[in-house]
Amino acid sequence: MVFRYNGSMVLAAPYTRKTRAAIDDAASRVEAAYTPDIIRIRHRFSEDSNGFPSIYFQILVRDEAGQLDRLMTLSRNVEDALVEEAQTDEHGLGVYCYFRTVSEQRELRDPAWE
Amino acid sequence: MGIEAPPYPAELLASAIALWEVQPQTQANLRRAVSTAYYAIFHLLIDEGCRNWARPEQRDRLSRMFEHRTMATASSRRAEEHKGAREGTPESRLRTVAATFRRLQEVRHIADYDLTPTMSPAQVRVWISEVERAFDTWQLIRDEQIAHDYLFSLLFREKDRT
Repeated sequence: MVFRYNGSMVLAAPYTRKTRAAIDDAASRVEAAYTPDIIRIRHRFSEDSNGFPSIYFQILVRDEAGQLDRLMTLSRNVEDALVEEAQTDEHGLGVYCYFRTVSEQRELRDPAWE
Repeated sequence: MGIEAPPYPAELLASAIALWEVQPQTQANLRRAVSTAYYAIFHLLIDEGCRNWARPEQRDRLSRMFEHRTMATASSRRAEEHKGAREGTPESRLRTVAATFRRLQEVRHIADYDLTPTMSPAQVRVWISEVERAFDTWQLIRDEQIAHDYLFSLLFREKDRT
């Protein structure tokens, strides 16, 4: 299976079971590395708005990590860590990270984040 | 810090912040804030690209030829290309701008068209702050050759590297 990612040809099958397992493991490692700020990381596979195979990470953080400057630093570091650990570039996958605090989720009650 | 951002993109960025600050922070306002932040960086890059066109009377027409998808592809390429660049270098700064544009395009698409996911205020403010940072970062590199090459690639699709 061949994908065109970032304009280059990538010979890959990004949604294979092996890739999924590797990404599950990577997400667990990053979650552990950023405890206690990160409560949990969930992810799903989908195509982005331009049709590129991508992973969408949902990262729930404790309220103390939600202050703007701190969250900006945390989000950059966590995204870099996920890209590196999950080797998303090698798998030809785009990465999108979404963060929210425990209090926000309590108010929003979004079932996708439970 | 030198030359300021063009007025319209700067106004859009200010509007994004103002929308975020409206209380209560409804999903409608948060989504409009995300969309407005995207258009701030979208128009910043278009403005800067058109600045290079020698004939001022043609710049408005030229600006309408930029396409979201071409800009996304070019930005993804640049972000990937400069992934390992040392912090503080023009390459690293360009990567910041390109990656921010790409990210905001994606979240703007969700904000405008996919009502399934909820938007969290903290996350939206982070995205807006990333655009603010991209604006500041762009000022540091806007006269570098690497920046001009990027602007060129936003309009003219590059041939695939095979």
